[in-house]
Amino acid sequence: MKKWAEVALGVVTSMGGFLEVGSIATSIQGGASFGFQLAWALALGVICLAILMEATGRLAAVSGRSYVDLLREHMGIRFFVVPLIAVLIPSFLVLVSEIGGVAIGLQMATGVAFRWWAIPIAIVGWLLLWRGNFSIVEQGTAILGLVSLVFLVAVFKSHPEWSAIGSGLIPSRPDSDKAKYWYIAVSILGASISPYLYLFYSAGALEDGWTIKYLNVNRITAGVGNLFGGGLSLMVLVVAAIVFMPRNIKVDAYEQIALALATPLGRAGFALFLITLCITCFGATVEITLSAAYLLAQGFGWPWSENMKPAHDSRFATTYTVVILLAAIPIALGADPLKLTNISMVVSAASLPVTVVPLLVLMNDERIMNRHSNGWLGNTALVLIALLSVVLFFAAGPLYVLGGG
Amino acid sequence: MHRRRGRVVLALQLISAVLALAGCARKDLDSEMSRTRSWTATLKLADQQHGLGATNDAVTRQLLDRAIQARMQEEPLLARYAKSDSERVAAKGVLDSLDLQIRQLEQVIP
Repeated sequence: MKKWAEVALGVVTSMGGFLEVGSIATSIQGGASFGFQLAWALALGVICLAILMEATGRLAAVSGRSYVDLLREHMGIRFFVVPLIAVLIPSFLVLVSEIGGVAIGLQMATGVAFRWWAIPIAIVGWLLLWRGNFSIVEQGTAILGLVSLVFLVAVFKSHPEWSAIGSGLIPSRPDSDKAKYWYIAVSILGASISPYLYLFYSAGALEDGWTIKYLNVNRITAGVGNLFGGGLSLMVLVVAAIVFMPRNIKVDAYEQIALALATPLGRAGFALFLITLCITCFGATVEITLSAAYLLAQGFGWPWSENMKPAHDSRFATTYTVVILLAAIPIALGADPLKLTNISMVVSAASLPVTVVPLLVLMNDERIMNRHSNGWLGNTALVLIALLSVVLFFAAGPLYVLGGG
Repeated sequence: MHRRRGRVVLALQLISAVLALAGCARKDLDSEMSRTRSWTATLKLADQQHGLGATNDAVTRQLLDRAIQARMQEEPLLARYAKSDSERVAAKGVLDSLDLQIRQLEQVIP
């Protein structure tokens, strides 16, 4: 019974925590410019993320070590520096974008310029990390994030053509603006498969005390949770396709996104959009900050746990303190949050190979996985994701320049 | 030593390739006119939603400011890309529509 409650909580957490600044911005831009045509990119991203989360969760549950621990121990510190840098840079950029997302939401609500909100947001986030524990950070913000279900309500109220949405799930070529189409597709994939998501999930499995008995919980949480979360992202894309595309509105600024829910749902939709933006981006802010601290602490072998008092894992606590305050600076200086989001999604996509390829190696190491190492299906899926990640690595930069820069 | 030099050369080649692509980035009259029209449509929708009481003054003002900023960026770009008389007329038309929408919204927003 306790396990099923954990499964339910895990699924709800995955769903409520799925939307964040990157998934909102890229889904809105995709829907506004290409209607339902990019729904396949979202579906592909969600499937890849579910597979990666299941693998890193299984790795943690079976070995009692996080993915980052194993990466350093089995690949050596010289190799580890590469994924460390390749994950830290995009994670930091995404973190800045998330703080920007909360700040822009508060700007739209109050009229006070977003740059003034950056430092207060960082302080509130830091306080939550300093005073709270892992459950509060992970589940608290995600449960509040269920307010994002408002996108589902907006879709039902707009009566879309479901068959057209279904056909968007099959990849198709755009009629025009090919560079932009592929650039947004890469951004959607970057937003869906950000490395911090599965690194955080792996560390979270240990924070929650997962063992081999939790393999089914892991499977269901990664699969069903991401399915529902991805469904919500799809609803964001559908709303944008219904509201913006027929009016030929291309989204260049976050303020335009506020009109997406106001149009079908009126004042309540506008208010709920602002709440959704603030809560989901704030939730992602604390998770990415924690993820960066996990990465460094696990990488260098420091004591770490969000469930420990900061005095007992001082280097871990210092890391998240420094990271969240540093990330507030670009927004406080007036960096454009949407441009930062677009850049960070592309950098995220480009950084994937260095964390995906080693995962394939570790998942087949029987010294770590015993009889739970990957079967042919898991290996095929990871090989395909690794190939996709290599394609994204080479395509992301040029597509950003041609289609979005 | 040779391997390190090879890596440096590869990195420089990659950077040059990205810069070359940046030079080829597709900025043309159609895309700039489409961006200007998009801001006109945004302001029209913002005006409607504000009129219905769906959005607040703050976000409508911010949209207006963004549109004014976009207009300032677009004017020189449209002038640069419009080569023929007909293109210049079309470009002026889309700018005039945006100006009209800006003026309308300025009357509504305090």
